[in-house]
Amino acid sequence: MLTLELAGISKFYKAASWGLRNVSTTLTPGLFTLIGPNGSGKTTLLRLLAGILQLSAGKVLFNGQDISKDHSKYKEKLGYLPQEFGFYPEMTGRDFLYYIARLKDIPTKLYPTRVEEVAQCVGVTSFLDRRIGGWSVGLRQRLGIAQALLNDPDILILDEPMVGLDLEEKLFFWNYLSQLSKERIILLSSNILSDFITYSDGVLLLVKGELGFGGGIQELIDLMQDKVWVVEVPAEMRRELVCKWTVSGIDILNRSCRIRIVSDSIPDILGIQLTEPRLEDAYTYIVNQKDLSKKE
Amino acid sequence: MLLQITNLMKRYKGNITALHGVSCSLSKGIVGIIGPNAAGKTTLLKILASLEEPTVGEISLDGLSIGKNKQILRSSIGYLPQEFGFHKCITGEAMLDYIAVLRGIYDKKIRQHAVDEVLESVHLKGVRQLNIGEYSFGMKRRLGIAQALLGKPRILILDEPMEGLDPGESIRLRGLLGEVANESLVIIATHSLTNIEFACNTLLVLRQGHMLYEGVPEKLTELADGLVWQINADFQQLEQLKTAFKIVGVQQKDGQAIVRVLSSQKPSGNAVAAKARLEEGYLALLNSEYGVNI
Repeated sequence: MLTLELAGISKFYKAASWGLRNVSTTLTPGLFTLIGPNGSGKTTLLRLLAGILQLSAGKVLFNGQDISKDHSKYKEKLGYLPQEFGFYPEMTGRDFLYYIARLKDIPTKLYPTRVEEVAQCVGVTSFLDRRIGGWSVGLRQRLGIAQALLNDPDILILDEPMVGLDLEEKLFFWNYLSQLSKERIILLSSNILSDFITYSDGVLLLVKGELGFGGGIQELIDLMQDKVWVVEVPAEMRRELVCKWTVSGIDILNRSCRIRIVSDSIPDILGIQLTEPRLEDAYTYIVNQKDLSKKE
Repeated sequence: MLLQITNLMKRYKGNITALHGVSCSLSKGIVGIIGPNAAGKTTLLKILASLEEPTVGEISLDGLSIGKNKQILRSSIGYLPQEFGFHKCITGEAMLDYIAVLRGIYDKKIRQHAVDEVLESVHLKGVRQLNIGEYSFGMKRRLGIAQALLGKPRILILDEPMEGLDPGESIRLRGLLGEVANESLVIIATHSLTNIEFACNTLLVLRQGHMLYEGVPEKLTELADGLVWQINADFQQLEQLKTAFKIVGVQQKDGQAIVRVLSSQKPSGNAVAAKARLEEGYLALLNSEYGVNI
């Protein structure tokens, strides 16, 4: 079975700041989602795994082999979609895929079949001969994934692939990635509030460059049993509660709101009750714990 | 306060119709406008912000027809467009001050106060003296929201305000909007349901310029009642389900998959009825084959 092992990987930037600090985990075939606040190191981690950034410490092992030892062999097995993907608007989809196939050193003979295959996979065949400039956001995103698939990679790394897509397009992608992930390791970064994130087989939560959680979504939510509290208050009282407690959700009602608070013990607020945890609660709890441990 | 929209229609050159006679009345609270890309959400917001003229139809505020009287509407509105351009080389504070002048807040003291207030509410006080070029993506989004809040508008129109915000920032924004909505009408367009599931009193669903739904979020969820099924499947059964049904969730574990399916009939012997989620209600509404009456 394929394995991608992150062994204590770190990235140190100038001016004494850590982009990523001592992250260790092992990925096997499946669909993994990388979550975390803005600036927590998600893109840094993905770029390290894509071999675009140099590690400051630690190792990445693909099937037990250090990827820095034989980098070009690793790259043959890798597909990567960066966060901001540039297209030449004047190129047709087909030209673009040929161009990338060339950059990826795919044998020339294979271009036509591979391009047809990946285009069909993501459903852009009928647009291939049109200028990319006229494609919608959703179609361009499909093309971005198609180029990452050209070399039939074992590892697929996608930085925020769902941004700008509407609900049905997202559903298409989650279904499609879930199918691909049966025999591939797929790691994508996303916002936890993204629709259909429950498709992920596992999540990695980064907080300030460190791994705050790695495991299944249900496992993450279950951590919060007996720790999520809810109280309905007039909207004006929100500020006071937000200052005093760790608020993990605010549901807007008519003229009032329902405030969700994560806390190990019962907050002393009149009328507060335990409630069923959501993903957002677990996320907020872990992000805040890490914040506090830093301050101490 | 009552914002009344009657039979709004917008036709662009080349006979492209972005809105086909949309009507609704909106009052204080948070209204979410959702729909697929190209549903007409942004067009509707631009018309409400008086940046575009409707081809046909009328908008009235508290019974007063806007028509040519755009100033009435404009003085009541704060607007955040989908893409907000910034000068990189001025500070966040200077930009807000500049926009406050454009809004007609000429008194320097009042302006300073207004700028302080909005900086505070979006948590940007600490970086007010930094050039916008140094702001992170989330900070720029919040600065965009801050400028829309200047002068306490009675109607706040936000196009994709949560895009790019992380969950913590998004929760804070939700709280802020909840407070604003006590006094004002807040209209949010988005294509992410999870972002506004708990943030709205009213949801409008647009598709290809038609309004398909107007009501509370819970009722939209209910449209999928009886249509959602959960199945424990092996990979072979998963493949079969994929060809025959609309799959709305898959979770794989140890060679097995928990699959959620949208179907008007029980999809297989081992399927159990599941509680519907908001996105499933929305999908049931958008896909007529589930027999949801609009």
